[in-house]
Amino acid sequence: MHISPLTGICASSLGVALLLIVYAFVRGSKGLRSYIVTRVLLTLPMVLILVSVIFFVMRVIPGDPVTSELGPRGTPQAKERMREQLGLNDPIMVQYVKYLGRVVRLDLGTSLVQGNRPIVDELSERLPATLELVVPAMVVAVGFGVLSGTFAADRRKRPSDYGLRLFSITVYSMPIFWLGLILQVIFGVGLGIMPVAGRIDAIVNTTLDRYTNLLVVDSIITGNWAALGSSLHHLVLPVLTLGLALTGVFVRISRINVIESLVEDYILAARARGIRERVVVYRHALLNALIPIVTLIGLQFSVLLAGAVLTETTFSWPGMGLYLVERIGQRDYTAVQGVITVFAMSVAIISLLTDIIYAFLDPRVRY
Amino acid sequence: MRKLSYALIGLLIVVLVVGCAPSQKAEDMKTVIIGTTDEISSLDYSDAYAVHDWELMRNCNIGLTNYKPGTAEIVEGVADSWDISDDGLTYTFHLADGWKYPDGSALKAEDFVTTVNRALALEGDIHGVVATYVASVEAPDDKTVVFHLVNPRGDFPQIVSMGPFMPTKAGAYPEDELNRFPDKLVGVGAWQITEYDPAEQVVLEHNPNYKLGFSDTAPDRVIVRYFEDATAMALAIENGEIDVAWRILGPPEVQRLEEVDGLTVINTGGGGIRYLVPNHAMAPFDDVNVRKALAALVDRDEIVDRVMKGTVDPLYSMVPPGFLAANEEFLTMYNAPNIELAEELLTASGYSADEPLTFDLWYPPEHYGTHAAQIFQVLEEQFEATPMIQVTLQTQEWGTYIHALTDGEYPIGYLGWFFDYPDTSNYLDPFADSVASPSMGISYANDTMDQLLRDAGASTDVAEREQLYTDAQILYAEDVVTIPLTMEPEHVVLIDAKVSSVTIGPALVFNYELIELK
Repeated sequence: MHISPLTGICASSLGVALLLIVYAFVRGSKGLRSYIVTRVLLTLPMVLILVSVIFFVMRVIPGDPVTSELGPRGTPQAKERMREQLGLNDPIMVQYVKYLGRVVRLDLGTSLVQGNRPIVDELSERLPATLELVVPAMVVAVGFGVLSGTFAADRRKRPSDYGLRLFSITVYSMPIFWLGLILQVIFGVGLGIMPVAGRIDAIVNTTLDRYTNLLVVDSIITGNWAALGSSLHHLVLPVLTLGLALTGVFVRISRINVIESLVEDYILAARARGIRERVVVYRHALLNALIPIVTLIGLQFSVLLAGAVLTETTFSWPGMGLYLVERIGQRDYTAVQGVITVFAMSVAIISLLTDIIYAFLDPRVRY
Repeated sequence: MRKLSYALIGLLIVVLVVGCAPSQKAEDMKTVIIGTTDEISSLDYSDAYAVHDWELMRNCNIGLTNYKPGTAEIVEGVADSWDISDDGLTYTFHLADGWKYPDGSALKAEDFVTTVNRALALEGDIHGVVATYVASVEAPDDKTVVFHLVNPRGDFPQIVSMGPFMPTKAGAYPEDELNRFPDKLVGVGAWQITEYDPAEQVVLEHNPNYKLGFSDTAPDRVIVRYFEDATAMALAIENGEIDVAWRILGPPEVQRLEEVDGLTVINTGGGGIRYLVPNHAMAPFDDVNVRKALAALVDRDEIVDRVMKGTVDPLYSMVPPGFLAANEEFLTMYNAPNIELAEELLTASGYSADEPLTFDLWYPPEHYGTHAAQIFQVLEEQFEATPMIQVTLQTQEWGTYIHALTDGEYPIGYLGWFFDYPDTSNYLDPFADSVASPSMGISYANDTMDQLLRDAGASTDVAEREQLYTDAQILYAEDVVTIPLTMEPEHVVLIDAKVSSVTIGPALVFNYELIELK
C-alpha cells in the first residue's frame, strides 16, 4: 500500500501526540487523568468547528471556483460539467457532510488548477518543507529567546539587559519579509556565504533520492553528505529569519518570569545554601519560569505558521505557506481549503499537547 | 552556555564548509541553471496554453514549422515543405527524414494527428485556439499531415508552430483525458525533461537522437529553477546561485542588475504590451469622443521616463514594431498630450469644467509589477490635466479583477497581452474582431473592421496583408478600440564568468541548446 508523506507525517504526529498523552495519563494523578480526558474530548468539537468554519467561509466569500478555473473561455456546458464534477450542484448540507467525510479520510479533494492532482499529494510535497523550516525556527526562537531572557533577568538593569530588551522589541516589531531581505542582502549578496533562495542547491538536488521530502532526513538516510550540507546551508537564513522574528516575545516573557522567580523564597534559600548563582538562575529560577513559556510555545505555533507564509515567500521556499499564497492567487479553492484545514488541525493538536504538558508540569491546572 | 555556544559555532562552520563545497556531479556535467518566476501549468501538449509551458515544450519538441533562432521569422520545422489548396482551406505538410524521439523511434505524421485530435476532443485550455482554426486533421501516410481549416488562414504556418501542433507519440498521453503532469516530457527536439518538481525545478538532458546535434559549447544539462518573485531571483543571480535569470524581471531589478559587475543584462525585445481597455458597452466609453479624448491625453513618454526609467518603450499601435504593417497611428492621429483636442472632443459630447466627465479607472495593484500604482497616478494626472475630467482610481486583486474586467463590469481597465504566435493578426483579432472582443471586456463591433481582419487573415499575399492590416490599424485608432500604452521587452541576465551568450529573439523562444558556455 502506498502511503503519502502527508499521511505518514500526520500519522506519526498523531502517534507522538498519543504517546505523550498516554505517558501523561499513566504517570499523572487522578486529577490529571480526568483533565486529559476532558481536554481530548473538547478537542473533537474544536476541530469540528474549525473545519466547519473553513467550509462555510470558503463558500460565502466572493468568487466562483468554476468561473475562476474556466475563465471567459468556459462554455456553459463546460461550467455545468465542472460543477457536477466538484459536487457544487448538491445542496450545501450534502456538500458539508461529504466534506466532513473526506476530511476524516484525509481526502482534501483535487486541485482546480494543477490538472486535478489530489491536494493530499500536493501537500505531501509541501508540508515537509514547512516542517523543516518551522521546527528549527521554533528551536531557535525558544532556545535563543529563553536563554537570552534569563540572561537579561540575571543582569537586570545592566547594559546587557537593556540591550536584549531593545533587541527583543526590534525583532518583534520588524516585518518578517523585511528581516529576511536584510539577511539575504548581508549574508547572501554582501558576504556571499549563504544561499538566498530554495531548499537545496539545484545541482545537488539532482543527486538526492527523496523518500520523506524532509531533505535533511533524506540526505542522512541515503548517505548523501553533499545534499545534507547543502540543505543545512539553505536552512540557515530562513530559519534565522523566522526564528528571530519570534524570539522577541520569548525574551520578554522569559525575562519577566525569571525576574519574578528570582525573588521567591526558594531562590533565597538556594542562595543561602551557597549554590552557585548560575545554577540558581538557570536551573531553579528558569525551570520554575518555564510553565508560562510552554503555554506561549503553543500560542506562538499559529504565529509561526503565519510567519512561515512570509518567510517561504521571501526565500522561494516551496512549503505550505508559499503554496497557500500561490493558490489564493489562482483561486484554487480546494487547495486553499486543504491548506487551511491542515493548518487548523495542526494548531488544534499543538494546543492540546501544550495544555496537557502544562497540566503535567503544574498540578494546579485542572478543569 | 559556553559549550552550547561553541557547539552552535561549530555547527555553523560545518554547514558553511559542507554547504559551499561543490558537488562531484557539478564537475562531471556542463550544467546551466536558469532561474524564472514562471511556473508550470501543464505539460500536456493538447492542453498547455502558457508561455513557460510552451518554452519547455519547444525545447523538447519541434512543430511542423519553427522560429529561426533569434528572430520571429517562421521557417521549416520538422516539415521541409507545405502546400496550400486553392481555396486556402487545406494545408498539406511534408515531413523531413531523420527526426527521432529519445528512445530512437522515428517521428510519424500520425503523431501530429494524435495531439491535435486530443486538443479538439478534451477541451483543455488550448481547445478554443485549435478549434478556431482546425476543422480536422489526417495523416494519409507517415510523412504527410493534412489540415482542413475552418476558414482560410494565410498565417497558418505561424499557427502550427504553437504547442498543440507538436507531435506526441501514441500512448504518451491517455486518449480520453488530459495529463498535465506526465512523468517525463519528450519529443523530437534537443532536450527531454528527465525529472521535475513543479515547485522547485525541472531537469532537461539531451535527446541523444536530436537530428541537428549540439555544439561543443552547449550545456549537457539545463536546470530550470523556480522563484517566487523577481526580487528573490535577482538576489540569487547576484549571489551566483543561478547562471541565467530569465522571465520575469521588473524594471527595478533590471536597473539594479545592470550595475552589478560580472553580470550582463540583455534586452531581448519581445512582444509583451500594456494597454487600457475601455468598455464600449458601458457609459461613458460607449461614446467614441470620450475614448478619443483619453487617447489624446495619454503621454506615454512620461510613463516611460518618469515611472519605468526607460526600461520599456512607448507603444502607438497594438502591433509592436517589427511586425508586419506595424505603424504609429495613435501618435499620428492624436499627437498626445493634446489637451486642446481632448477638450474639443469632450465639449462635443456635452462635458465641461462644471459638468466634467467622471469615471473609475481600474487596475490590479500587483499583477503587472509594483510600479502599477505609479503608472496610474501619472495617468490620473494626465487625464486631469483638463478640468473636464475627474478620475477615480480603483484597484482590485488580480483573481477578481480579470474576471470582472472580461465580464464587462468595469468601464475601463488595464491589461497586458503576449502573443500566442508572432503575427500581426494576433495583436488585432482578439481585440477588434466582433466575436472575440466581448471576451476581452471590450465589446467592440464594426463590420468594416471584421471584414478587414478576415481578409487579412485569409490572405497569403504579404503585400495584400500589409495593406489590410495598415487599414485596420487606422480604423482601430479612429475608433479607439483600446489605448496602447507601452511595450515591455523582456530581459535576460547572464553570469559573465560562465555564460557567453544566449539566443532569444522577439518571439521569446529560448533554445537552451544555443546557450554558449565559456
